[in-house]
Amino acid sequence: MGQAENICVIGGGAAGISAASMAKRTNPNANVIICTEFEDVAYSPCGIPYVLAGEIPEFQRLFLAGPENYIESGVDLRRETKVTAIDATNRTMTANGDVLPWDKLIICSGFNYELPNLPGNDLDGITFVKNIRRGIELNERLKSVKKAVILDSTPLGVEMLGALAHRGIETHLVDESAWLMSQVTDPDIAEPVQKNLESLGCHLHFGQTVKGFVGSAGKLTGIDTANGVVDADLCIVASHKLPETNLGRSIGLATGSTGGFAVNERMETSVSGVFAAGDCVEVPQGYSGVAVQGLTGAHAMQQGRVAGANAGGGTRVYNPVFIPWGMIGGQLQMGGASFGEHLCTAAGIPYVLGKGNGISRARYYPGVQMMMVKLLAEPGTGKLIGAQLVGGEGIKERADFLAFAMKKGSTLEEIAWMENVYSPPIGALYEPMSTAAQAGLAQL
Amino acid sequence: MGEHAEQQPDGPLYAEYFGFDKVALFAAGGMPAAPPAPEGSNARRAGDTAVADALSKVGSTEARPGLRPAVLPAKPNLKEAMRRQAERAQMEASQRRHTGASRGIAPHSKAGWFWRAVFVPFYKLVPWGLRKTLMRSASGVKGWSTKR
Repeated sequence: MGQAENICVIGGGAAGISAASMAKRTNPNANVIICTEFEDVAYSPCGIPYVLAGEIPEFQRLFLAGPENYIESGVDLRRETKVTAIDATNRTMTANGDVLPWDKLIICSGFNYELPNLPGNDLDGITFVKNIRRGIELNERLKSVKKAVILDSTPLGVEMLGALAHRGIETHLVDESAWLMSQVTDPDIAEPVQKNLESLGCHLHFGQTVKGFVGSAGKLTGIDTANGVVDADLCIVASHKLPETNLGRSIGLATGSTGGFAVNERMETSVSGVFAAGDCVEVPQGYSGVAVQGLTGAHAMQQGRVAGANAGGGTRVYNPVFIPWGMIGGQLQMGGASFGEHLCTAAGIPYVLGKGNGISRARYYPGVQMMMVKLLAEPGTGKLIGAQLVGGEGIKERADFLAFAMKKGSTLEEIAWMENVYSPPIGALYEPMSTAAQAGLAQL
Repeated sequence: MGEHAEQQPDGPLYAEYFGFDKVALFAAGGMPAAPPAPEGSNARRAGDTAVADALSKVGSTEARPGLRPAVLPAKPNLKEAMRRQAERAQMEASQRRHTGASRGIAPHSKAGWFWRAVFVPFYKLVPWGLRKTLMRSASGVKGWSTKR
């Protein structure tokens, strides 16, 4: 049993909730307090686009628990409670005017979207998707929207693109990049998804810069791009996630090159007794060692668990990340892990490429889907350094597997000769990853 | 049509959007999506409260959490500015090189002249071993023992 310490958590998202739960589990004697400025906890924010799409019929389905569940487990959950100041010398924080003492502090303050610094950015109709209550309000507003623009093809942007088109709204994507989700994807992976989105009625405008937002009587009427005005009643800004670090900076927490808090593998910040996790921190990518920030909810949860365990007196370590990712784009799935050709080129990382096409089930089995797999490996050693996938199904499991294989130092040779499941309804005889690895071996 | 076809929701949108073989909601052999939590449960109460409260605030101008969760980027320090500029220039250059595999569209260029015309070509000339060391050290990650 640990000491009767005060462990305070700022933030009630995936990182904050998992940190508090793990801290309490590790040290049941601790007085664990979570402060969140939002009204709700324990729901799936990642599900919001799918309710907005109409695929999930009601927002209530996204709730996994109620605040009472945390109280029952001994965690003092304080909703609609904004932390406005931290005193690192006296180890206190001010929340809704109350001064709360802490022995260990875990900052999970999350992110803000980057607001385009452009004329008209305060017009009514410029919208963001973050917490569930505002998502419910947005759902009502969408009932009268005829035309919408999504700014930036981030994962949320792509999900919202499909969601709004699904509702029958004329939906445009405006993005400065040359192809969809170019922060992570290769163009040949993005292209089938782009075509699919277009077949659903989405209008894609790549290589376009936004000059401003156009409005009338305070309401948005369009987006002014270099190619003219795109009419819109609504604009969803799905821009880069900027780490929210104001409170931490006020007590001198070091930040890194992404602007996120610099933490060590125990998720400790530069100030003793202060931990951080989630979208407000940066962690190293496993192969390059380069700091990355703004990853997935799964990363935030695991970081929170590590921070919480260590704040509770444990000895957990978070490993550098290989970033498996996967998502729906229209009717297709895309995903990957770590680097693609584009990111390798941008970072100047040498690679050999293995590319293969395959199928998700036996060719004669109903529902069989095409899949393209690209594997990138270190020249000479053949160690995997990245993967990209696109197809109709079976992307997520392969992205998870490939990220794990990278973490363990697996090579193209090993993937080329791997064992695989063959069962007509769920897997073909020739595993597409293995096919891609064999093609890569020829390049080594 | 598979045995799950009769479970498809009514309306043309589902078939149009997913097709019978591509459904996320009723994948072949899958289960129907979970219903809301049971009446009287904490989760159901939390969900119902959230929905009722949010619906009561539609169109309201009162301040509430998450209404505008966006900020103008703060002025970056030197470390952040260097990374941001270098990354932008490298990403734009790479997009120009690879865009043939997509639609041949050039990215909108925001990288400044120095980064585009000097940094990108110079970076290419640096040997990979040195580049890797520079990349790791410039990133500033410390306190991590578990490296590959």
